[in-house]
Amino acid sequence: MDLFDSVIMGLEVVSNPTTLLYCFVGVFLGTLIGAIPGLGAIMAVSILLPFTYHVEPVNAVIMLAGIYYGAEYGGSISSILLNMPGTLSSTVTCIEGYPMSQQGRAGVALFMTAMASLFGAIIGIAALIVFSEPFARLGLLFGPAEYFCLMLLGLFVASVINNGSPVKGIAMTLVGLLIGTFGVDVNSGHIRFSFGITELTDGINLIILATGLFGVCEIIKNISRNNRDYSECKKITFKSLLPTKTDVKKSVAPAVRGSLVGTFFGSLPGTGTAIAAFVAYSVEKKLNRVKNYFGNGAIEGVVSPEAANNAAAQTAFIPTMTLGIPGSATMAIIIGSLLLHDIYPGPKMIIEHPEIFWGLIMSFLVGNIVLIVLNIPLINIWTSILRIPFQYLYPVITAFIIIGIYSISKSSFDIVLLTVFGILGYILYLNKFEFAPLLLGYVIGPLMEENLRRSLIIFRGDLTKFLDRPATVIILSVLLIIICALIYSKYIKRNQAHNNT
Amino acid sequence: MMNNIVSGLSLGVIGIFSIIYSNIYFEFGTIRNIGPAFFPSIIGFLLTICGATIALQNSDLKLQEKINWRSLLVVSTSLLVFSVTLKYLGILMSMLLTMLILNTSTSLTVRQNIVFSVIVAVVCFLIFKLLFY
Repeated sequence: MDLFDSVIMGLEVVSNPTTLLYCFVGVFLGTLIGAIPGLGAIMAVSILLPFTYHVEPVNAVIMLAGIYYGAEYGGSISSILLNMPGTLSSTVTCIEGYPMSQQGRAGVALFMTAMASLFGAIIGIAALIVFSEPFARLGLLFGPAEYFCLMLLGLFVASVINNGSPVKGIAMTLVGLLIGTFGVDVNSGHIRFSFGITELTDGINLIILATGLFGVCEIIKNISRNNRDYSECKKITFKSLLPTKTDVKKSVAPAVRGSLVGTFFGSLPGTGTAIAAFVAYSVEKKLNRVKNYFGNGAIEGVVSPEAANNAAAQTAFIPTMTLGIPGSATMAIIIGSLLLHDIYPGPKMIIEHPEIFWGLIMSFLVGNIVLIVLNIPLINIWTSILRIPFQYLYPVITAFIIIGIYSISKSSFDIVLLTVFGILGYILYLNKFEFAPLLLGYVIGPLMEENLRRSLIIFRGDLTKFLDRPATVIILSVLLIIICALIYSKYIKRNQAHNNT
Repeated sequence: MMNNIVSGLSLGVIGIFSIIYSNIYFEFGTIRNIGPAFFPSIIGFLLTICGATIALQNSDLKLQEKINWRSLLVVSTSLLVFSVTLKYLGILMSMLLTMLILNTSTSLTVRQNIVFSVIVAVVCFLIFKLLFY
């Protein structure tokens, strides 16, 4: 009954009033920022990250996680009502959600989204409870060489799977890895890349990097934009929320399928919620071949991706917490915030800090129930947020970012760094580079270097020993298969382009 | 402002720079016991290759959107003003000044700007005092 005891311990942690409060504040603020058109989970986490810096580690990580899955919920609101996705994963929700809203069924879409999300999250949490122990046990068997290869695989997948070009993704990962080497080298004590600036001797703070790239850059992009006319965004009456019997009947199977798809894709390194949502949507589309059914407000197309992305949001914590390898930039921030508190996620964390691990998992349950309350009876709070003009919204966000960053170490140099990263982010954005891989590389970099160093010591500098272990061989062959698949698909695309011209 | 050629070249320059810089200032070590310059050098090498690849595939020369010089300038100036004046003016006044500058990039009128900035500055000041002291 080990698992049972752990669950009880987790519940005890969450039942602490302070922890409950942080969980509530997390999901509330997450939904709030997620609901703002254009802002997604990663923005929400990076803006609010500084405010968790002085908080106890358990509460900090519970709050950050709450912000993360809260923003996944919130993102669906602006997708359905305005066709403006906040996150990549909710772009899928737009496809069917916005037509539903135009047909006057916005309430139903929101209700079913919330229900599907809760369902997906519960499946995800169950998977988390069942699979994290075995994963952690596997993780304990791994040596530095296995960890190095796993990180390599995770980084590669994350940098290749994005909107833009794979080479640009890889380049961004490398830049992140490079920034990760700034500061004191743990092994030799050398200070690297400080360029004689005292403030850089400790390296670059994750919070400043994330807030600069995602926060300040977004402000530069949007501050002079004006809102569209949001008058179409009317109050949602309680009655309009209620789905019909056929709606419910149609939604059950897609919710189950979506949750399973999400659970699987969430636990893979480098994929994340967006991929889960896309796959879930295409599964639904494959299963129902009635012409013109999808694209015109099919409820299955809302329910399944939403269940998938929320299940994935939960199972993303499996590799993050049990192996210490984040699969997405948001997970990297959560890992980074634990590292700031000198807690190293990984198989040992579950043994040394079980209260953090199980408390976190149980907080997901509490948080998702809070989200249902926030999203169904209180839905009009969020629709009114959509009506706040941008010219008020973005200055307030800026002020919060400044106060948050300044509070970390009361240094005005940090604000200068923040500005530099903001400008860098804007330049990268203009040139179609994505900075999620950069952040991932930055967090994984030091861990990767350490594991590489250790494995080379164990192997006495013999690189072929990487191929002597079964686990590393499997991981490296998966990597090779992905590379081949990429080259092959590019080759096919080029051939098609040739044939067309 | 830039395109694939320029950004690829800059990445290449960063890569080469990190190889040279790290090898001048710290030792590379051996493959058996890697030194502090080992990891940055390898990354620098790979980055140079990536940069070259990006620079050579000059298919995509358009920017994501037209560069918004005004927002870029106003946002970065307002942040820098905060960091410079903080020592002399304190949080309340610095934040007020920052907000006044920042709001010139929005469509607020001068009067709206002043009222709004005062409110934001006071609220931020109170939050800071409450949370971080």
